[in-house]
Amino acid sequence: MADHDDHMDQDNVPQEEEAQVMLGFAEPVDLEEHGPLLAEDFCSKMGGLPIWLNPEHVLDTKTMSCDQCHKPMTFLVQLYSPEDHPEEAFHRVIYVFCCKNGACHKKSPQGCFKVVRSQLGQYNPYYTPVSKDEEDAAEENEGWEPLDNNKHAKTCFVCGMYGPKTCSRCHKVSYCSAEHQSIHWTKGLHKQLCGTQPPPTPATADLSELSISDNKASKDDDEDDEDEYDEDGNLIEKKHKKAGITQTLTKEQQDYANKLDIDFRLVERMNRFPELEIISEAEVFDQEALEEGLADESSGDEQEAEEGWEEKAAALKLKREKKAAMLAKKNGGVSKSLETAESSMNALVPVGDEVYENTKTDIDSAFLTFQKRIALYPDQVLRYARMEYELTNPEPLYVSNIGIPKAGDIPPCPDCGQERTFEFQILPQMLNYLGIDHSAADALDFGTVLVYSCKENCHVEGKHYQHEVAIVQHFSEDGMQGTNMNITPNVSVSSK
Amino acid sequence: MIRRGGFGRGRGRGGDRGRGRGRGRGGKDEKETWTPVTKLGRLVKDRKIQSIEQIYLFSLPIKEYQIVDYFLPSLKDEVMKIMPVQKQTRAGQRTRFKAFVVIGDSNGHVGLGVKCSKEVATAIRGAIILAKLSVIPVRRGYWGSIMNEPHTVPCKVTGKCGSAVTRLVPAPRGTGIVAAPVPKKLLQLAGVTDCYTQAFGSTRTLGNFVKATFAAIGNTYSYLTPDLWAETQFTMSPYQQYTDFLAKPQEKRRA
Repeated sequence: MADHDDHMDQDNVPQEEEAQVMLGFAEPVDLEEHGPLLAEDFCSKMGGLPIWLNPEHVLDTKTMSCDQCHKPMTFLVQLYSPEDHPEEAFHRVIYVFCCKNGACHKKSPQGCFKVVRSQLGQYNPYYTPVSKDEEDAAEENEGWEPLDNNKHAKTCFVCGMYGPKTCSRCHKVSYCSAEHQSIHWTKGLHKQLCGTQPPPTPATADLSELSISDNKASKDDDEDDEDEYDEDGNLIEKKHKKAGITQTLTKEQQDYANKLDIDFRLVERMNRFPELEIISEAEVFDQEALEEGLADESSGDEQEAEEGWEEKAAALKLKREKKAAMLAKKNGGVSKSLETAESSMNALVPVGDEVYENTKTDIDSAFLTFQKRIALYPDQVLRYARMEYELTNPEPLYVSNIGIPKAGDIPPCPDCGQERTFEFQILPQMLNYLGIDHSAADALDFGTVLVYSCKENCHVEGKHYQHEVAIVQHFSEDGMQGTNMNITPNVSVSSK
Repeated sequence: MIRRGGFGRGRGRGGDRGRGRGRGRGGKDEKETWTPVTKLGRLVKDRKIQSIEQIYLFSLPIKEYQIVDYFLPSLKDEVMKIMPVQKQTRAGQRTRFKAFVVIGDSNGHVGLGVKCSKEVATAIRGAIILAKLSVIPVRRGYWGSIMNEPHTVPCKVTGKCGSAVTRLVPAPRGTGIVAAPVPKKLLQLAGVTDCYTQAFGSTRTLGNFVKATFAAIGNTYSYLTPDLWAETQFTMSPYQQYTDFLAKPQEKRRA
């Protein structure tokens, strides 16, 4: 438990109070309660399009290309992780991008994950706090509103990064590269939809909100099922209610909206990961019970206790006490008798034929430790470690003994020169939510992704995205070696 | 509105702002569903792998015991021995308990797990998990006429651990398992019906004795018998089975 100790021990206490880890869980976006995810919600999410903290300056695909295949990377996860101390980091988001092609990961394990950090001060030209009527000191803010100053940058329809190019025909949809434009044209529905005008709208409704470039209102509802919303007009109506449209739509408008929806889903299946929200929850566990299991392996200096060791121990104790009492009666030196009595306890160590047994088995102890820790919350996808300022941050949870990064492996921050410390790690359970085909040889696979970021959250004027370090660790290839046997591939398993 | 997904140290903005995620997510529900962590686990959960034999064929390491649970739901475990072990410290002895657990389905799969812990129950639980991770296939054969089901080991096999050596010899039908209680239990759980055994060395050390028998049982599948002399037709590993492009034809490997 991370209770704040008012009097922190400055001596080297072996077990210093460690902060708790915050876990992240992936959940479908709750459309009925909260509506689609918007930039002013400052949420954490995975998959879909990235929601930029700074809507005016967005990432360019040149900085976010895979080192191996040089294609634009796919957005994986973004975390809203605000800080108090540097004022410019009042709002702070970490974006993680990865290459979708597993083959690139196999060739260059560390070059296929890229992490950037983006931060904004409390007083910025993009968001303003919702005015609070009551003085509620505990709740500092109730939410934020976007400032509508029309400075939003154009984002690519396919990947969400900066999109300077537009469709040459309708000039309504932006793209970052010719490749994404051709993807949208051929595999998306843009070939059919390009140039078609949305049907005339009622006065209060504004179907232009359904247009694709930078509106999220119509998009974020794809986690439920793969069925197209063909006949279910009600659902589409509800969506429009969220966007501020109160009137029902004509059949024409519904058709058009359907097509946009399908278009979005097609492109998503090709390029993006399914969109989910990440909810944070603290990890509560019993430290005692966990630690007991960790130091379980038999060390070499343990010996088998003799048969009936319990009775022997009790008898010896009795004998010792009697002897001590007698000696104490004889002379006043109690301490001497105790020493002699204690040395006779060595008799409990048995003698036998083979006292030292070889009962060690080859097991992957690091993985078992990992499994034990995540068994408390099996479907966690993220572990966030920077939770408290005063307490030490917990160490990352490694998945194997190989590939543990040493202090020299992590380069310091290039902007301020400070060291980078561990911030959070992505767990392999996230791969279950990405909708990839795991049986393919080239499927994306990792053990865990450790993200290290600048300790001071340094801020550089004019540089809106600062790169951080991601270290990938894979599982070891050991199984249970236990015995001396090998199953050679020559043996065919015949199923009679 | 405030979303529930903030992380970090920012006061009021980061951290655990919304406890209790999702609806209908009781604690019990989480215990029963298994979220796989390794790639093999994900393939198993998606039912892309039909039997555990496919995993054995390619010697893929099994790291999650739930995989074994999924394929072999009828495994029975047996605690062979709880052995107290002591370590001499300045403040006296530190006693822990070492549990030996043998697990098997009496139909060709056995596993052996050893775990040491301060409490007996924890040691047994940990040993069961380790036993599941070490499940191995057992090859059975015939003593004489090849009819009905295989009932004995296919040939004389031997296994060694420390100074304990166990030798398993094929036996005619109806013999039963002629062995000391320790290997007898192991052979019963393996599904071997008839077997003669010979043990050498110090069999009092149970750890070595049971590991030697386990090694002997495991060696049944690494022994090349004449009926395996025909050339093997290799199949694709589960990791490659579903790729778009087909593997090259088999003639290549003759070269």
